[in-house]
Amino acid sequence: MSELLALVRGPRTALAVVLGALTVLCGAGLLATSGALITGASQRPSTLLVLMPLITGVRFFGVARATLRYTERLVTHDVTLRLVARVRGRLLERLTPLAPAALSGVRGGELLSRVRTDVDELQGVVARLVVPTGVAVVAGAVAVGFTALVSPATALVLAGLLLVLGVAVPAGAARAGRRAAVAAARADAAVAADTLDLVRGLADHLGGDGGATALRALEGHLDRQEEAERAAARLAAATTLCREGVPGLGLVAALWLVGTDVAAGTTDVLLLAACALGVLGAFEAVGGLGVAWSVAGGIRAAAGRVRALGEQRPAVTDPEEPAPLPPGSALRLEGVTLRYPGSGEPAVAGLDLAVADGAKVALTGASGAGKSTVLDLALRARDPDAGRVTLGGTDLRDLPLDGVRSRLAWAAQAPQLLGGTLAGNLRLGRHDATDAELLAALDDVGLGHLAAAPGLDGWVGEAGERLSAGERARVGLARALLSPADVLLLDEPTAHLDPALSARVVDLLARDPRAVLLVTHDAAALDGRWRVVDLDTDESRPRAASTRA
Amino acid sequence: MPRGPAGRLLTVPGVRRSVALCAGAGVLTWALLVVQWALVAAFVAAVVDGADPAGLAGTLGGVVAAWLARAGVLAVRDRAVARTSARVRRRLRGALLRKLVALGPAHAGAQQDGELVTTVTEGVGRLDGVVGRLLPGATTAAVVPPLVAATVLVLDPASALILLLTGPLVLLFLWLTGTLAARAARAQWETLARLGASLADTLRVLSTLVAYGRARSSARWLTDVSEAHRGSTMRVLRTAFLSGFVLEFGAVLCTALVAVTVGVRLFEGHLSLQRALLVLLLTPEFFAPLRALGADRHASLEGQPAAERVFALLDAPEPASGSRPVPAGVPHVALRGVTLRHGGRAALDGVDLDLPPLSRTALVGPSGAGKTTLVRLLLGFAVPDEGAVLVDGVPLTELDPAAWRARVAHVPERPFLLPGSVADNVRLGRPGATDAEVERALARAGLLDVVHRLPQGTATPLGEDAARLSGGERVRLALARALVKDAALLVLDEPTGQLDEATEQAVLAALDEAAAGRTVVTVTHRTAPLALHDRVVALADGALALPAVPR
Repeated sequence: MSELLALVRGPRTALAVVLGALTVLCGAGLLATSGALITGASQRPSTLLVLMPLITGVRFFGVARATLRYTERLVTHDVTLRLVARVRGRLLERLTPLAPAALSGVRGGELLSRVRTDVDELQGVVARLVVPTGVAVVAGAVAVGFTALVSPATALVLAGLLLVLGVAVPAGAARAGRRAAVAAARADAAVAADTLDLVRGLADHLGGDGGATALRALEGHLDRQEEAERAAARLAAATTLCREGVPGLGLVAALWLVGTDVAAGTTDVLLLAACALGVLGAFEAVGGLGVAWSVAGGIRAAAGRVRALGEQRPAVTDPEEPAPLPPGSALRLEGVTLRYPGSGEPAVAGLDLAVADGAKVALTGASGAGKSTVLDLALRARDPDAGRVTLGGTDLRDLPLDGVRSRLAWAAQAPQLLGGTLAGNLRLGRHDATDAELLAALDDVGLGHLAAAPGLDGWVGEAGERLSAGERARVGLARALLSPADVLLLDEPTAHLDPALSARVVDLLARDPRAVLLVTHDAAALDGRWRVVDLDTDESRPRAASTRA
Repeated sequence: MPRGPAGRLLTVPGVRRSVALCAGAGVLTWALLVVQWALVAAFVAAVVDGADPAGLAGTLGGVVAAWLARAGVLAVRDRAVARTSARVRRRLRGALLRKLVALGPAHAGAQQDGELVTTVTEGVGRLDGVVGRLLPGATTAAVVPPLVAATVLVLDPASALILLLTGPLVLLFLWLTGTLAARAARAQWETLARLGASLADTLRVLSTLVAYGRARSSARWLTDVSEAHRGSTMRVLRTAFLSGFVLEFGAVLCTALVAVTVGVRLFEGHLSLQRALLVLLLTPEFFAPLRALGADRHASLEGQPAAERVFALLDAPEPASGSRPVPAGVPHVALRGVTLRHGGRAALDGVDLDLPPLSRTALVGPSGAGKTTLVRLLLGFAVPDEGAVLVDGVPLTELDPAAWRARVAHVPERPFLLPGSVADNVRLGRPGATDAEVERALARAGLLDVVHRLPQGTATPLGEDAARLSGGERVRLALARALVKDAALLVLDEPTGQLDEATEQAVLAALDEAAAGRTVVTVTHRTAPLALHDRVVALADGALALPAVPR
């Protein structure tokens, strides 16, 4: 929570609270001065001038309230937008050291989707939590103080009722609604998950029983979802009863207490309607607390998770005193063992592998043999548990991370594309590449047709979804080819290609002057220029020799 | 009432009743408001006249009773509205899901899976803003203010005139700035969404950015975008908040105006205190429903596009389907002059192909040659633009689609697996299959040994994404699903596309076993599966490259 407060603390937030409180107080002031004005007028004073201060007060509070409300909303939104920018910056700062290791795979996907939800949640912290709470405290206290000047007993009642409406009712509602909220969240998640399964597997469902089983299960989830919402509706009705009813009790109490004082002659008659209506207006102070209570838990949890990101230990860190980058980029794995957290078997054990400058090495092996792990180690996405990985003879752990990665270009099996232009995605590989170079790279991977549509400056869709999976993979390959790096790390670059194109790409890579470390399941497509390392047998042999054998 | 999607919502059962209920609650609210404020005014007037409050306890009791009764009416109304909203959304979700099934994979394939799911979940959820907030709010705003104005007209025509002059004026301004603000707010939603997307996008590709040393520059870029966005949004908001300002200003100014004019006439002796106070107390009630409606405006802004998407999906035309029974036995399937276009390009162009009973055909050809389209045609998930798919001479479009699907088994490249148990996944092929039949299908797919090694055998849940199974095991499970179906036509799409050589051999052996007694069509890039087939058909650019060659 302290982190959260640090994020929102500042003069702008304070200004929003003050403006909000003044808005509420002007509303109460308007009601109070109107009441006093009417009562005063009914006393038929000698001249209208006596009433002038009250008339001016009514007009002032009226105009001020609307203006204050408008300004407060603007300030609150400004603070929110500044906060969002800061939260995003902080988030990227914390996630960057964790990438790529912590962000890969299913767990990485879950982490990222949770982070996005958390940012959305944190956006509401100013408008829905901090400002309403601040306004309730400030406006509530001032209103109680003013009331105390007229009638201490009424002030006491007002303070009590404000606490009931602002604290007891929302806290009770939150507690009573917890089970319904959990049930609703569970039902919502079940509906979403089963709907996705239905849509993804629609062909299979239709082929089976026409989708009847899936629909039946979903109808069950929908019934539970509706039941949870009905429970929430009961609770909402109880909250409405309190919200609408309690201010009436305050008004009646003020009428009774101040009325008694007026009758006893201890209080000016002008103050009866003024005080009663002012008390009624003061209840607006706690109006936003219901929402604040309901979002507080979620916001606190989201802030906690964002903070925990910063405490998560990155898989790899920059050395404190980095060694200078070596002249060559020969890559060596020496007796390397890596076990992923939470899995029994090591992904690779005691592996030796050398990729000399300009060498062509292909990694094969069954799924799970550790092919992609070798690329992770080479890129220093992770450090080995035993053994070492060297670049130009220097341990990767002694080199600056950015320096290591500038020597290596990586294309994942399903490369990540930015939702931008084709050129923007390609220039990730080399930012100063000319259009001609980009077009040549596209041509090399058989994507020459993309130059016409969508074109280099054409939008590739969110996550590149306007391209086919095969085209996305090849854009990733072209990006790596464009890179000025010395070593290309390619994960299954030919998986989506037909044999002719696949042969062309393999040939292109073989002719490239740079070293290539290639993961493939299709060793048949490789010729004598490649050294094939089979991770199943941990056997390294030149391709030509094995085909002759 | 608004036309379009919101008006359309009114035709959903239960919504009209809910609106009527809100109108009734509005009338009751008005009556109780008048009672409550009349009693307050009477009390104040009496005390100002010198009465002892102790003698007026009954009056205050009346205020409390009327006040709590009104709160009760509102609570009952809120509960009924929330229940209606829940029921309406539940029904719409059910209808959407049935619609998705009726539309079939052709429709689902054309849209992003995520988008369809969002329409069913969040999209329908947003309609709560319309059914649960906007419609009740609009109804109250239509019922209560005129009744309050009429009451004030009876009590003090001069004040009523102020209400009736400022009320419509406020509404006019609200409408004017509202339309401006609505446009501005829509633009703001869009930039917010784009900003959210830019963060989501950066996070998604963060690993690549880090690998290419670009994480720092993209962090800077994101900050710049956020800052630029703040500037433009604040400009928009300055206009967007004007509607709220006008409402607030109008309401408050009107209250002040009534207070001052009533005060002056009171001073001049033209009005009694009790009546003047009642008029003053009723004035804010004239504006309260309008202000509540203004505050809920964003709910309608959110709800409208959601409603559009929901109804667009519900109204999507369902494909025409035949009703003729499927011929018994293993039929002769033939494509005759089949042409099918995707966005102007012919995916298939005048294809003639015979698939005699028990034939085994391999389809080869470069990416984009039309292999997948041909598979979709055979499954009945796509309909030819020209020509026909004939089953024993009958066009596929005239056959009962459910019956045809029951006779066709499809094994896709990445089979879809339910998070349920192994047996659930096999039974997706034929829901009525017995345990013995499930085991036999698993055995024939060469998977029974693997399944027996799982902790709970066939009852083992596979979980999200079936992480327990390797690529080859997934394909064999899909094969078991196809086998339990006892289909006449087996269609395989790259059954070994993602597998290494050893796994490929195991899958192919299972496939050979599965193919017995059926017509088989296999799409493949690889050479190993070709040996299982008695002929190879090459497709290129949507046409048969060579006449079907018997092997």
